[in-house]
Amino acid sequence: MKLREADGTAFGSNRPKETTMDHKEDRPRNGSPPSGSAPTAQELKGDIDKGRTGDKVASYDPGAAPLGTDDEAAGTPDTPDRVALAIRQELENGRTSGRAASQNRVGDAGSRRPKSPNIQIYRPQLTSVLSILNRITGTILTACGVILVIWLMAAAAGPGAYAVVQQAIISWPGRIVLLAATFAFFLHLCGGIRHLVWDTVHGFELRTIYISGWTVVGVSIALTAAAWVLSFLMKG
Amino acid sequence: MTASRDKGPIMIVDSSDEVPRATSLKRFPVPRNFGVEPQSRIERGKTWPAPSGASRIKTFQIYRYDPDSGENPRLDTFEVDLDDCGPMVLDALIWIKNKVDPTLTFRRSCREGICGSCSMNIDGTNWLACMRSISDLATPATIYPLASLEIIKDLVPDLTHLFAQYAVIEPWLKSKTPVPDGERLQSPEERSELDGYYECILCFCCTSGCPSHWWNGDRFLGPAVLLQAWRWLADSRDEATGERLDDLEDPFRLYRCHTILNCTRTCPKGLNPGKAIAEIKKMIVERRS
Repeated sequence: MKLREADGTAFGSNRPKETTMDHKEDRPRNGSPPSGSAPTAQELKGDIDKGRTGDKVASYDPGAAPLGTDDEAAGTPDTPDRVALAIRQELENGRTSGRAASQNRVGDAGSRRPKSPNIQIYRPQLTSVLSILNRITGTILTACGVILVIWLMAAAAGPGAYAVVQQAIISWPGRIVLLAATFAFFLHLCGGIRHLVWDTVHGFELRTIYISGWTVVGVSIALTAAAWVLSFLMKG
Repeated sequence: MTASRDKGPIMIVDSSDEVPRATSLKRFPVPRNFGVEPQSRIERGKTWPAPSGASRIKTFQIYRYDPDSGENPRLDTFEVDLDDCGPMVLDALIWIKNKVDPTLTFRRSCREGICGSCSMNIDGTNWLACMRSISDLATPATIYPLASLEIIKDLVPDLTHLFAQYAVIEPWLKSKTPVPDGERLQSPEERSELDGYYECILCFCCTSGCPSHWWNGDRFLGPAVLLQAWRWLADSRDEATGERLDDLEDPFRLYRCHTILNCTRTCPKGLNPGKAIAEIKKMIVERRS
């Protein structure tokens, strides 16, 4: 405050250009001429947003009332005297607080701000779990495609090779893989149908989302069981 | 508001204000520091015991981060005297700030679910602290800031990027026709198209709860912003529909939405961002034909 009076600097004159430019259109509403002798609340807001007042992080604040006064909120601009007083006090705070604006600049690479946890703490819900399962089953089915090709190639290669692969498939580990693959197939299929319905913008009520989700799980289990019972019956 | 709603099958959720009741899996089975940068690792914090003489005590575990200390975030344990404290989670936070640790930092304003300031991760899901009853919480209750955001201090995340994404969709009325003498009129039917979309308070519970936004938040706009995009597409007075769709038709901005629907599950206002995004996708398909 003393510094400013001592060197006789008019308010706003040593402010960066963009601050004044940004708020040019606000001037007529404030009823003040665009002269350095009548500081506007927008200039102060620019100072606050740049972290010059030492108490806030340097970043754009979408708040509409720069001084936060009731008059402003009601649409009555503050008088240049009051704004000048506010600028003096705020910038004085910035100087005496001893905290450089650059210390708390948003997005500053040097700030090394922590990121809040996401998947480590977010509660699993039917919505997210089924989405993840749809991806996992899709990956599993791609791998199963490779196994299917191996089986077909063995069949083409001759009875010897086919017998080896067939032996592996009907072994217990082979059967467990096959059961998992069947379930993955039906879950992915039913999940895909659910997504097709969503693409028509149907079934977005929360209750419907949950009913269709559990239906996908139930139907996949039922179809898996049916497929296995059927295959054993056909084998005889 | 939520505690009495435990009728109906436990597996079906009717409304987003239902507290999760099935407790089989409170968090995904991933390591605590799975993919976590060194400065984001959460350390064990202090324990702040309840005042002597308190009889009804509730334990809260709260994420703390002090930018001036140079230390990592930590999880502090607070014991709250429920006989001395209001009924909501926000009341407990204010009680802690007033009576135990005045440095506890969080945003709050209206305390009635209309300003969207006190959104945070409560017991694993995003919600407004002023609209969640303490009686609905687990023991200990866990309170983190909104997920997957840079933290300024304690429960205050940096929303700069999310508001910048909001600005991308140009959330204001655009018209080419001459300004009419009076208001731009809408029929009641046209106005009702905005119901369920104009009520968004930009608390960002949905965007911060969206796994797709966790992994691609730099380019995917996220559910809150896309719901706002639909609010302007659905407005009969807006005449920039084509330009708005052009701006949205992008593999990342719009199509990183994989209809996970965590957004619709978590919206504290009961809105449906997932449906709004599906409407945008449908509108883009329909204008091609």
